[in-house]
Amino acid sequence: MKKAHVTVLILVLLAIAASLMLRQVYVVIDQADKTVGSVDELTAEIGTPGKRLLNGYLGMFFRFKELGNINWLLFPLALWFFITAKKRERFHLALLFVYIGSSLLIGYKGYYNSRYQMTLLPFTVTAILLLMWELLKDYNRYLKTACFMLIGVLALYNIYHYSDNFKFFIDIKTEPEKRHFPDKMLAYLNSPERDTGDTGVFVIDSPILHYYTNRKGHDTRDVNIYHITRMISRKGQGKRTAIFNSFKLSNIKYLLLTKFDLKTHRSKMLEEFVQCESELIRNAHGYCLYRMRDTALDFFGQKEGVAHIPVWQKRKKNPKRMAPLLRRFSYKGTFEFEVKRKKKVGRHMVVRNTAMDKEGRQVMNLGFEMNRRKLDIDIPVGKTVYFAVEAAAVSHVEGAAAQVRLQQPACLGSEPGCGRKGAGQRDSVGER
Amino acid sequence: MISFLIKFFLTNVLFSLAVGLALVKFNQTSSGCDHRKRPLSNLELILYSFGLGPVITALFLYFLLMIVPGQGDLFYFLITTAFFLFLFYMGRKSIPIAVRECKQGVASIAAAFKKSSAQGKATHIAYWLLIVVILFVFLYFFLGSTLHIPMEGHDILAYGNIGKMYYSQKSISYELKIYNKENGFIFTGSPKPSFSLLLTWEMILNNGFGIANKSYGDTRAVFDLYFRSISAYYALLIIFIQFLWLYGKNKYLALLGILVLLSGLRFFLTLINYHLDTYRMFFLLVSWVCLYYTFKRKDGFVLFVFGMFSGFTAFTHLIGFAVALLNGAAFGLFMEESSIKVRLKKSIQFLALFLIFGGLHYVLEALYGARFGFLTYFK
Repeated sequence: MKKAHVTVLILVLLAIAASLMLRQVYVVIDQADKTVGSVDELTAEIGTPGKRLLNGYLGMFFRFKELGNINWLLFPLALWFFITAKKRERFHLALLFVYIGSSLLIGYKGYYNSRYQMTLLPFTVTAILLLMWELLKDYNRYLKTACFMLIGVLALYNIYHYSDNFKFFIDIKTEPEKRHFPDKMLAYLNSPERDTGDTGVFVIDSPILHYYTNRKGHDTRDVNIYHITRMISRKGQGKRTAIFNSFKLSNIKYLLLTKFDLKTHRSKMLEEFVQCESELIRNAHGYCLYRMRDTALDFFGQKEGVAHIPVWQKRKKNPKRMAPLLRRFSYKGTFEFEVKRKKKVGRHMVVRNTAMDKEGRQVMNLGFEMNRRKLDIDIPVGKTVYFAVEAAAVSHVEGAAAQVRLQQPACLGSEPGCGRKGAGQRDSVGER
Repeated sequence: MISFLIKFFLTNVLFSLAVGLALVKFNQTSSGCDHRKRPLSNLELILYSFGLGPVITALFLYFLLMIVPGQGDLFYFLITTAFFLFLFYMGRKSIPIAVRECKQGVASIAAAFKKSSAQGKATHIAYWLLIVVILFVFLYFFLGSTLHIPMEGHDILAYGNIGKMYYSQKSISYELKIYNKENGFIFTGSPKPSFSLLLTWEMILNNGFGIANKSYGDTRAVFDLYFRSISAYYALLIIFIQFLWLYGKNKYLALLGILVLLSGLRFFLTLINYHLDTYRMFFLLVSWVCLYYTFKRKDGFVLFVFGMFSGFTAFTHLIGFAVALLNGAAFGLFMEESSIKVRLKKSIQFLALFLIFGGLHYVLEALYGARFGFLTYFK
């Protein structure tokens, strides 16, 4: 066999091997994160062991989505470089030294962040192409062209493979109506007719507030509100009213949280506080703006004539199946519910979490036992009212259930249309 | 938009050219042969200088705010502009040299074009037309719509808040954490002031244009347009540098390089997102180019440029600090001088330049600021 034919055969085999390898890499890096150690790993796309290796530690070479799919060529080219090291000049060795040092540093300390991995990308791409040019300089012109065309095809394939991602960002950056920016929320905060304007906003590391508004932000890292942050950060149920009063004293009226904060802050107290003591007034592009009540919720719960209604999920006498929302939000929350009539079941309440937006509302069907002799409140069919759900105990004991404390009056605080009606009256439940 | 173009032209073009011409003057006076053929030609130097206008402005402002804090906007503007006028004055005699080299470059391209066949000419025209069209399409969308989208990423807003704080306080101080009492902004990391100072500079210029340095309630505000444009500007510079290095081998290789660079989402996003990544990557890349040139030319000018870019690499980001130290180590270990005394002397010179052009920040931070803040990356 002629030498040229052997060379071509070797190259074809190498190309097939490379294609199989690349295919396997794509399979690994594109897999969904089924097991996630932390939210950081989820957002950094290193949630599985394979992704942690390829997207993480070796991300500079195999993080195809973010950095392209030819950087791995540096490995065989580096091998060739070492083989010919004796012919190399000092500047080659100096550049190799700084490159290896930087790569190790980034691979070890910056593996979770593709921005850090991108640091050496221009140099890497240029080095690969120049080294390939040098390697192939004595070869046939058609072979050189074929090799570089293959690189081009790989690059184009990567763009095609992740075209949805490219398109998404192009759309939001070129079409203003698709942009992800909470301008209405910010305009709300900046509006001069919103109270006196000097009330503060509680935030968790949200620089958007300080950059675009004239509101004073109270960050969780601010030592001046350390006592509040400490109470909020406690796991389990804590002093919700104490937090409310502390916010009032610090002149904080709003809470600006992101959906990321609510998912990851892991503070049941924060969730409970947001559910019970504040009202969602703006929800856009991942930001949630809450306004605190004028008066703490517990104040109303202490009034006379409040009924206790046992509540359980779906079927009667199945108290272990605690409603998921009850479980999720520390069993406390403010819900609106409406009463529907069904033939077999009788009356049952459809409960919605008022913190959710209209599209995302969770519907929680709760069965309830309504003993008219015991209840002195008639809940009309079709009416929507507030009630506060409070668990007597976090318990899954047979027969236990979450208890519903029905607020009287049914609307709270100074909300418009709030009618104060006493307990025991028919049609005594107000409407939202 | 006009105010943005003026700010851009002043800082990125005029200031950069002033620096470039001054560097060309010292490049000429260094010993060597034909300046067009020597490593690190004047044209290449001017190209790299287009990244120096903003960072030298930031560095100068950094020293001004530390040494002479609390002055008015006009003071900082005049002193900074006077500094660049001084550089321009130093490099004024380089103008005819630069113009001559440009003309010679154009003439050689034209001569090569004339010699080529009809098909070759058509290919050449198509090649450059493609590049120009892509560039213009990008600039059309970027200046027309992308640039007008407000910033909303966490990191860029944090840098922006720091820049606004520098502007409102007119000082730079080193403390355990960054805290703005006026609006409650807190930053517990270890930010490098360079990038934020670009917004501070823009806000100083805004005063001259009568642009309100607030965007309260109006997210169409234009007070930070220049700051937003930094990422795309340095991304284009990086692409241009890579293009030139590969064009020297083959013009199609240069196009392939651009395609490969933009085939990953991350670098592509630097053209349309707002961040400091391309800003810090540019100085790192050029510092490695200069490292290469220190082995090709032994004169002090190349060492100066190498030290300067390494300092700026550190001035922009913590990764740059580590890379700058590696640069110094590589330079000291691999330089061809066998004498320990010469190696030590050059290494100290490099260290001094590294400190002057940005490394000083880390010394001050370690002594007076978030002492171990930079170690947060090494938890």
